[in-house]
Amino acid sequence: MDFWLQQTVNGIVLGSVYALYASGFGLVMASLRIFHVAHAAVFTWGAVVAWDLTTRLGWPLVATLPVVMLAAGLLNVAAYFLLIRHLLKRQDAELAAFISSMGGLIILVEVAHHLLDGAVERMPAGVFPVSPLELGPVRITTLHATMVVVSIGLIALLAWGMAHTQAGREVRTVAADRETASLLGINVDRVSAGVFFASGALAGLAAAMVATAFNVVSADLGSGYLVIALAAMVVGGFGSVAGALAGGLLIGVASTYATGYLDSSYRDLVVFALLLGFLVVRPTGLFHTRSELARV
Amino acid sequence: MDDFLSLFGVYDFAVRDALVLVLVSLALYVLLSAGIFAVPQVGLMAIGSYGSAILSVDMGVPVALAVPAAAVIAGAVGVLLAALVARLNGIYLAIASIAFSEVVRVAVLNVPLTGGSQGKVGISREVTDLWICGAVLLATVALVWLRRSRHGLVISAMRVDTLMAQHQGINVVRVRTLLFGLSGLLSGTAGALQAHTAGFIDPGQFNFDLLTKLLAVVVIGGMTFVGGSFVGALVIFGLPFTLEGFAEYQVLVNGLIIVLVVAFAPGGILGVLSRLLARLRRSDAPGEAGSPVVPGPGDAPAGIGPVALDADDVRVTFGGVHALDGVRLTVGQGEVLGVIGPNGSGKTTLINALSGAYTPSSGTGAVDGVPLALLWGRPHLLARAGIARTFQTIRLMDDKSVAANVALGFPPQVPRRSEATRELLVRMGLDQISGVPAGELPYGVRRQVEIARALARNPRVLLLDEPTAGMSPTEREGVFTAVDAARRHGLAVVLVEHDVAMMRRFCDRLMVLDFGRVLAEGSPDDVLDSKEVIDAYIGSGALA
Amino acid sequence: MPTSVPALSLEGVSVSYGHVRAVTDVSFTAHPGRVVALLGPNGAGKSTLLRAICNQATKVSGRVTLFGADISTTRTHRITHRGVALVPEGRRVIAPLTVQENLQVAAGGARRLEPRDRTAAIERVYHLFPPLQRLRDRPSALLSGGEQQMVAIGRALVARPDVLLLDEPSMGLAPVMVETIYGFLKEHGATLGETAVVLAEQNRSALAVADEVVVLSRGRVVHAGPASSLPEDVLTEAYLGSATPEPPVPASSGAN
Repeated sequence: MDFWLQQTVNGIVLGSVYALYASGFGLVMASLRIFHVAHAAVFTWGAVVAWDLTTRLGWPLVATLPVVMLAAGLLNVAAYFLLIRHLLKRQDAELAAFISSMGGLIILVEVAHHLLDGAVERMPAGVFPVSPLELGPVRITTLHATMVVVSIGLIALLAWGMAHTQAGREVRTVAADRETASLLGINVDRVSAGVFFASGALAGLAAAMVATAFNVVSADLGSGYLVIALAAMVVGGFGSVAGALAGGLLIGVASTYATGYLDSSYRDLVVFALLLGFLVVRPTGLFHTRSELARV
Repeated sequence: MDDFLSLFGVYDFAVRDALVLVLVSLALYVLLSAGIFAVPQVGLMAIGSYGSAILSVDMGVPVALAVPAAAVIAGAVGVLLAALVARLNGIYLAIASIAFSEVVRVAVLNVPLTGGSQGKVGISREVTDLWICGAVLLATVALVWLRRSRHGLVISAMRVDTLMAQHQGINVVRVRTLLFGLSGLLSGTAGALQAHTAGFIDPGQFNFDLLTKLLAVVVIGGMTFVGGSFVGALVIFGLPFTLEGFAEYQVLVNGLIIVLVVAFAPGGILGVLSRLLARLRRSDAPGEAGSPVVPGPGDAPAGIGPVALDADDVRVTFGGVHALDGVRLTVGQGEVLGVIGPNGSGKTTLINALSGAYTPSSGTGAVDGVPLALLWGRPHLLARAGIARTFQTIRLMDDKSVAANVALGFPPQVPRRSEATRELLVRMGLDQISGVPAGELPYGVRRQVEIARALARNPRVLLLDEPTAGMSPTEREGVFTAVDAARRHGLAVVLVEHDVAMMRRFCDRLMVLDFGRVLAEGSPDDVLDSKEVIDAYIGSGALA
Repeated sequence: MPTSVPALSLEGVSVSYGHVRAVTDVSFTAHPGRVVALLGPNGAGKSTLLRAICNQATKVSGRVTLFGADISTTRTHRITHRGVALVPEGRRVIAPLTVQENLQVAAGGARRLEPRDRTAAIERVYHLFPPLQRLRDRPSALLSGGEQQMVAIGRALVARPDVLLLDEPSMGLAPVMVETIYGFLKEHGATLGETAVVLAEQNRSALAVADEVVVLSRGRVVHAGPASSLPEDVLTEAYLGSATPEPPVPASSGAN
């Protein structure tokens, strides 16, 4: 029982970060109906920037987070203008944007490779004061607790903003009908760029926390978690922020159970099978409702 | 002789690798060139690799049998995957196919006989360079043959416009499944050959990076050309050898080239070349077209014959709105039935329901004796049963010649297709321009090509959705002449058109739709002079 | 005719889609506080023309001015900011958003209302179309055609535009609903004030609420004048063609 509880909590920790990665990914996908794989590279760069600031400038992790979010957000905006925007009016926009984004992924990952010299780097010790907490039978570190609180808090904020602010309504309007959106006075380009910024910022934040928690910074970090983020997104349902949270948590818990009860080598198999299974049986995900952002 | 690729000296391994990757790139081409946004090739390749290795190492099957057997297994898995993801399209399909490859990659780590993460070693290296070159050559010849056959047209049509393809009697689900199988066969062959060339399998190689490399090859070369894989491979694998110190930046440059090619040359290198070539050739191509239509033999003006299409109680509902609310329609051989009505009255919906683009919620009747109840919502079956159509916005393969566009319309069992095409083009007065790409023709002529394609199937019923919208008077004349020829040929024609004046003179019978119901039906003059119709159309004077 | 500066003026506007010429050399003006009916059969080019005013269809030639200022090349959302509102063909409500959210998006997007005035502006729309009040929180995908049309018109009116363009608001609606939709136009002064209205319709019932009429056929203006004195044969000719026998098919035909 205690083991089960511990595994569940570990799964929630993992899952909340997956959800952060997936919600930004899903936001872009639902708004523009494109598969922006370069999102994975933006994630990588979030970790690289966090590593750079903590190692070379000796900043504590908490101080780097706003800078990381800003940098990753701007990087994703640049990706929108350089990789995506000119392709949206094409007849084969989906395929063209995917391939172009793939090109961007290759470039960004490769630059990171050169910068890190192909090595796997570690975050410096003590960037975040880690101490264990005991909640009844469950052990959790301050770092993990912070990760859960920050991730779920931000996703809740995003979900609230999408539902209740003018900016959120404008994003949903652009997602549903770009042409009518501009008739209603919405600057569609600016909203799209805003979506890319928010999405990139969330990816950057998730990356900084993953890099710290797993103590690993490498050029392939983002690509490694890409399919997991896809799984969280598909399981939750495209473009639904609450769905991404549910999907992320489900995937996180499923993967810790697989590790805890089976073997760590089964972890990815379980996650990927969930992804493929949902796509085959219920492609709209858990949280598909009529009022949702994406149409399928 | 067996390892003649060693004439490349120290580069022989790289050349063998490149050839194997060309084979997988061709597998990618098979799906992308048909407009199928799926990339399961890496997973299928892994299945081929492990399949052949396990068959030969653990089961003692001779390599010469193990390689083709593994290829067939990968092909079968491809077919199975196509069935699993039959409902998916676009981004979803891409994600599903990537997920498939990942499932395969992590699954091989956990099943017996694969050697797990250590990889599989001790694989016989009997595969010679002859095998590799033979396989690549065979695949290339087969794909070029496929492209030149009617199947090539079918594949192009699917890429350009799936809906249009279905209306030409093409069962796109079946074609998609077969192409997945073919893609699996090629990927599996490549995987098997690679395993037996290297002598071991490293499970880490079947990763996302491999996919990016394959996509780079296909996109840079030109993803709608068989040769694209070779040209792309030459760029990707050739550049590092020709440029000193380039290897370090190779991947970076690959990424950059992909982005630039998609932005500025979506057809890839071969796309640019073929366009340049076409421009050179154009100088001696005839500019205009449209000599008058010569009625074909046996086109004597016949009266209105027996009923060709009979539909009753056709209902189509969109989210609570009754777009068609119990429409009855009959049209006889050699008859033109005009359908008019205010905007939103259901005219185009009627055409879409009768041709299978929409599925009616109810509807009885028959076309040429076949009950419609069996055909609703299945465009390819309705097309085969004898219903042909044109579209409100012209749907042609713009980069293909007039002859190729029209040839697509012929059913597969027609013997001597090119001759039949030529005859039809002569009859339609389009033979002078048979070699001109459809995209370069003036609007009116394009519509005539679309009608010719519809006639190629020798249909019983022709559905025309606003065939002359936005045309000049001369262009209209050409279209109406073509429709008149079809009528005299004994076809039943259903014509939706805005130009009521033209409809009054041209149609044998008119039907007026309003709010998805038949408001009036009868001879054009009777219908258009009835007060009910004038009220529905123009309104009854001032609003109360 | 008023002598004031026209709110909206089109001079020699032509529009093409690829090979298709949809609108040819159209000129007309709309003055503040007046309604212009743009009549014509299906495919006459009415929608294309309204979309061209909002720069959503590419003009080949011609000029569109708003109170004398050229907006021919202004981007769509900026044209909206400057006071033009289009109720598009087919209503185009934002299906996943509720009625209230549709109105909120429009009230904010138009940039003509201070945030604190938006609530009052939205309430005015509910006052104009009372049936919408109880549908406030319903996703607009679930509304009937007439209710969606009220949302679309309410969305256009919420920020009190200077120019209101209506594209076949009565299309596919039952007569009772058409009357509700037209209700606000009949009491023009009270609800619209100085807004100039261009009402594109196929049905001549539009004449009842219009001051002037422009008849389009095959993309060209075939008649323009006061709404009260539209000769009957102009419409019959433009819509149904003449019943008198003409040369047999194939023949070139046309209203021009």
